[in-house]
Amino acid sequence: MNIDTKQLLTELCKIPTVSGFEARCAEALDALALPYFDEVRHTPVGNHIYIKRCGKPGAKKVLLDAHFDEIGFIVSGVEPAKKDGGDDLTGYLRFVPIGGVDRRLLSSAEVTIWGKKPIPGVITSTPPHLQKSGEGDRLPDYDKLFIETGYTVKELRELAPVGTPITFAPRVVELKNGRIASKALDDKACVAAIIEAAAMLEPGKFDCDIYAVFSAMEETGGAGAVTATFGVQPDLAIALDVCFARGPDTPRQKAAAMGEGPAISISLATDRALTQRIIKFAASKNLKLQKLIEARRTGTNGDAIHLTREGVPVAVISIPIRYMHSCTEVINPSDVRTTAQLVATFIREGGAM
Amino acid sequence: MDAKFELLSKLSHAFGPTGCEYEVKDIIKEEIEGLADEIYTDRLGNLIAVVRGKGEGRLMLAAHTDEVGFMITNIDDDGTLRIDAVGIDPRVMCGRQVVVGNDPRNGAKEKTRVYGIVGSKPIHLQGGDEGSRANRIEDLYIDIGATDRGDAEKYVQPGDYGTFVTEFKELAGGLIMGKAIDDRFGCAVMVETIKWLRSEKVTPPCDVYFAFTVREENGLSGARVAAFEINPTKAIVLEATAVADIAEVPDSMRVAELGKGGAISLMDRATIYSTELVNHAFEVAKKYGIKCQPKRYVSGGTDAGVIHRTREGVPTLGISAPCRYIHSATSVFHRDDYDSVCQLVRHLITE
Repeated sequence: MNIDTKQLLTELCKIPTVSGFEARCAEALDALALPYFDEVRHTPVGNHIYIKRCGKPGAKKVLLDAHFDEIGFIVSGVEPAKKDGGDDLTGYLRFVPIGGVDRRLLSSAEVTIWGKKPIPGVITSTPPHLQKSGEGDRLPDYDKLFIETGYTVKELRELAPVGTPITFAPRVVELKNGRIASKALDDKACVAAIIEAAAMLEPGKFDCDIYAVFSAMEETGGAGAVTATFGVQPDLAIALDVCFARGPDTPRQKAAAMGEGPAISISLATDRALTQRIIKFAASKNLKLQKLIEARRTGTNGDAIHLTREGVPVAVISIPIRYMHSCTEVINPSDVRTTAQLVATFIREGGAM
Repeated sequence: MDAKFELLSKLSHAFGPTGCEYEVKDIIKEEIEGLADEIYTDRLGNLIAVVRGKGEGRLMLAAHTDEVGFMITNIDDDGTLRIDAVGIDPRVMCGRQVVVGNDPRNGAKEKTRVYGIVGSKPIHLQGGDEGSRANRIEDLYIDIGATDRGDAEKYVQPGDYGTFVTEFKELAGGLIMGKAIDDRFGCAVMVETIKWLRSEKVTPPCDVYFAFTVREENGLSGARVAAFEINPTKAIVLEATAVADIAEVPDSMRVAELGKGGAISLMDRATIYSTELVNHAFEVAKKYGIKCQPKRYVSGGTDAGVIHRTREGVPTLGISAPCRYIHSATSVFHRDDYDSVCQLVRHLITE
């Protein structure tokens, strides 16, 4: 089955999955993923586990992990346009970050507040004309930033109460050489790769059961992957995440080249034998695969997965991304396709055996 | 969005960083073609439309066509573009979508528009207090998706211009958001005024020169030469002004309020406005029940800065749309203020 990678990425990036709010997005994800799997389990912490069985007794269980959550914000209060101005005045939403958000992105950013209905908003900023001298260099902290929507205090209390999730406004921008920019490509790029891999695997043509875990809360400590792995009890796992792509601000040794395929992690957290098998399969099919040396840990769900229960052999495969955790992360969808091909090949050719 | 804002929407979306305002002027020219008695472009690129009046004197209306932007200064080996600011505020650029381009009328081989995003160092790689300090212009670069310098050179040249990409759209409570409201708001008001004069068959008391000026955001260059050439007896500058009528801002710093009509400038960093014209504007507004308000803070500057000191001097009035987050990709104004400013300008011209 052929999937339009860019289209799938666009659909995935639109889904507002701020960490802790993944459960409510089950329906949207089902629509995109379920056609390529046999069944789905939505777990209490917000994991979405899609299962594709080979139908053979005693088949090994392979866990494929990509986190479904994204960095974002939640509403923490609302203030009137003027102090003691009452509830009929324009309201300004207070908000706090979830996950590692770069404050330099905030001033004047477009956001969507996922309340009773999606509400477009703008983060406040001070124009240069009104800055005091010396203010220019320091970034305002969250207590000095608000979101403007045009609604009154009263309306906002109803439409976007405290605790409502907020994301950067969803928009996919096409750049040269097929590259795209969007929020949440960390880690929707890998969610797409797993869905695409599943679509490539025809029933009866592989010998293991696949558990695709679109895990919750990676950006806030990894509670999703830990609990999912405990439940699935896999024989082995591949964690898929993003890594730094080479660019103006990334040290060469910490980054992989964009458009040159995914990178596989060589690390104390990952299983060397499994990693070598994947490298071998990539070479046999001429699939581009880079190596990323991450001495102690990978900084992905792989770190926690490999220490679950009795321990799980894990490999970590990463898609290079620029401007990680910004509202305009950049990837090359060709790397997503290569990753999908690599995962599908590994499973089809018995790499899990 | 209703038809009333179609023109402003089109103008807001248009590409017009300082020095490359052609697309904006093309839209305006098309709108007023056949309506003005005379339309010409002067040596520096200002677009001037003249509506002849009954008597002596020349009234100059001015709104600038340019918007804050940047210029490409270098293409790096990795294909990213280094920039310098032309009016744009580097503190609000990080992560934004931008467009880079040029125009054949500006010496370029062809008209180009290339989309990109403003990149910067990921939060994970920032050290010290890097993440709590605003970006400087030299920290930022544009990523158009090019693989290396040679690839980027196919699309972009050093010297090309750039600005934000923002969809013009409505928020709640009568608010509208977009880029370049400063000063496409003024441009739209002037176009509407010309259309109104013609549709209502009004002949103004004196000749009216509508100057759609260039390069305001870089030292008011356009208005300077336009005013010299027009040699007006009076002038009205239509602008958008920075306001901060939002939560946690003290009264003394709010400047003006959205939805309360055009802000009449008393003084800014470039001009002390004509007291006579300021009083007249408030009287006219009161007489016809049009909302307007004083600009209650000394900040910024407008084309008035050069117009009022042209030749022997020109009594000048400034009316501005109150605009939040001006000079950013997401400026916000109130729809009612558009009507208020249009109304006030009509009455000021005819009286």
